[in-house]
Amino acid sequence: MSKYVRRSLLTVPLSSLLPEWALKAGSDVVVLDLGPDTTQKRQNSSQSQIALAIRAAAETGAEVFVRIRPESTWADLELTVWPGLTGVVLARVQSPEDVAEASQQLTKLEQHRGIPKESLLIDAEIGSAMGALNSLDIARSSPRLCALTVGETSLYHDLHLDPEAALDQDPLRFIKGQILVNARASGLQAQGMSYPLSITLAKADETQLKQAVRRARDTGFKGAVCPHASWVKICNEGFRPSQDELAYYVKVKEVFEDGLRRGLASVPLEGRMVDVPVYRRAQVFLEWGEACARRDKEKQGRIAGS
Amino acid sequence: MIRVNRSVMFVPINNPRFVEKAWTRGSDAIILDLEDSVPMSEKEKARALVHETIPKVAKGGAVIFVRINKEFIKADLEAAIWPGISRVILPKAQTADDVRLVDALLTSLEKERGIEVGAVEIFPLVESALAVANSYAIATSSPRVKVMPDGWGYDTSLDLEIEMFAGFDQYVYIREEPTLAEIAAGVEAMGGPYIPGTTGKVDQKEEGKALATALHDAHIHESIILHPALVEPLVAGLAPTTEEIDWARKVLDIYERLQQEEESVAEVDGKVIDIYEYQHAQELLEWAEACAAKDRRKAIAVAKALSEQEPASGPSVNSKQS
Repeated sequence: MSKYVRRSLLTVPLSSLLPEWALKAGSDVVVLDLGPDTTQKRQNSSQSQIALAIRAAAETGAEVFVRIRPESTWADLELTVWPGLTGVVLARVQSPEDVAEASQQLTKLEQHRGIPKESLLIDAEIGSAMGALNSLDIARSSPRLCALTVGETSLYHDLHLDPEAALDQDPLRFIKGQILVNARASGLQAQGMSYPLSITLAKADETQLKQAVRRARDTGFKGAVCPHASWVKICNEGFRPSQDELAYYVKVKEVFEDGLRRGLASVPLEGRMVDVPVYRRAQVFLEWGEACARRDKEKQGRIAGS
Repeated sequence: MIRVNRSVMFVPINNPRFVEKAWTRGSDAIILDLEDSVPMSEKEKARALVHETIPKVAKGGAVIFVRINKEFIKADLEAAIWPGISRVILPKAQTADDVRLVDALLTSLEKERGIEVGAVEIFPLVESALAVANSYAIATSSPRVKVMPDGWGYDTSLDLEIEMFAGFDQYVYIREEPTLAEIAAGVEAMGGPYIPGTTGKVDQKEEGKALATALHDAHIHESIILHPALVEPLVAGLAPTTEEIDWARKVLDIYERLQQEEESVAEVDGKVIDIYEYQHAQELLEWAEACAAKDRRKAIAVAKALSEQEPASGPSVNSKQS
């Protein structure tokens, strides 16, 4: 089963005072984003203010990441890496060297800022054709890596796709599969996929969003980047199995275990065949359902206690 | 010779009812399964059954394969490699080394048991994200790998922790990447196209027909199936139709005439006839011939098996005893 429960990764603009909506959204992860307007932000937020913002976000029960831009990796890391952080999202990773470089810098900052050694994680965001082609090497480039995230907006830009074009099918489905497979082949989680909503950033229609989340889940993604707080609840619910599904998996488990007692490892259930992989998958889904429920309870406890 | 394995039917070797009936199903190929349909407690018993089961299931003219366990490669191969087994299905192949290990063991068993060295094929199953990522290395790992599937299947869906059937095509990359790798490696790719509406119910004849049509359209000649109800639609559906055969013959005629006139392209009935269409027609006719030959071999085998089954005292069609 996935090591982490990170169904919703809420993007929050980094400022000394985090907005109320961000603290109350209930996301599994908060990703603090420096945004494009850096010089301004840097003038406005001192390092100590950022350290406080990280702590405030962590107190909601969310895991906190900061998004580091490739054009200013060191400066961004120096500004934002403080205790309370779970890890960093490296935007637009192109090669294993990008990860190695950031990883070395994290080691230095861990040393100087009282953060346990090798504890900070890296989520590599793939946002270019080069990054996708290198995604297997990227996924294997550091023990800090926890996930590959599909950077849909950057990919659209890099591949010269038109975000306004109304397409029947997601033009990134092959490349997303590549990122997903290479992540999973390296023991990492794959995150992302909410086409076309993440591209247009239109105020998401709930039905449409639910459908996008469902498709992402059924493709193998374990969570999605949420550009808006209204996405969080839908992602938290959508990326875990529904009650009906859980009930079905319980049945799969029972039928198979009953078969085993009769010396059969392949038994029918409602016209389908239940064998070892189907049984194991049911077990995994049941465990995943429990892990999600635990995570939700934990966050509720934090919010109620605050 | 062209392999004709239109339907490759799984038979759980530990289930005598399925084993006894297997030869009557008309399948081109049969897989004796030692892996997922056999519970751990019965693995040893299952292994011991292979030798005596081969002639039983081969009576209908099917070629016989065996699916071994990834955890018991050596023990399974030792129990299963006998004359009559022409392919080893290697589940959960993750790297080229997995295949090379099987290759080496096969070579020594072939020598030991009077089988032509290199005769037994290896069919690595691509059943995880890692295997998809390594599919080119796997496809090029041994000359015994002649045919390979794509990465779509129950084990891959377990590895990715997703449902097998979700009502849309979730597996675009997982089907296409291994297929590209296999074609680049010169291995026959037998990955199937996405078929809308598939539910995973195993005995659906209609779904079998849809599957056969989709495979046939994609020029894919093999399909692994779990239920005997799918044998007939696949055996029939993967062989060329009479219309296709007639058209192919016409294409050959037209193209050969074109060449005599030192031309290379013509348009007939709104279709372009060129070197590609010509080659396709040739392949189709070879495939049609191979299918017909396979059907004849199966018919002869079935007739023989039936005649041997007739009680000696009863009235027999085959009364000519010599």
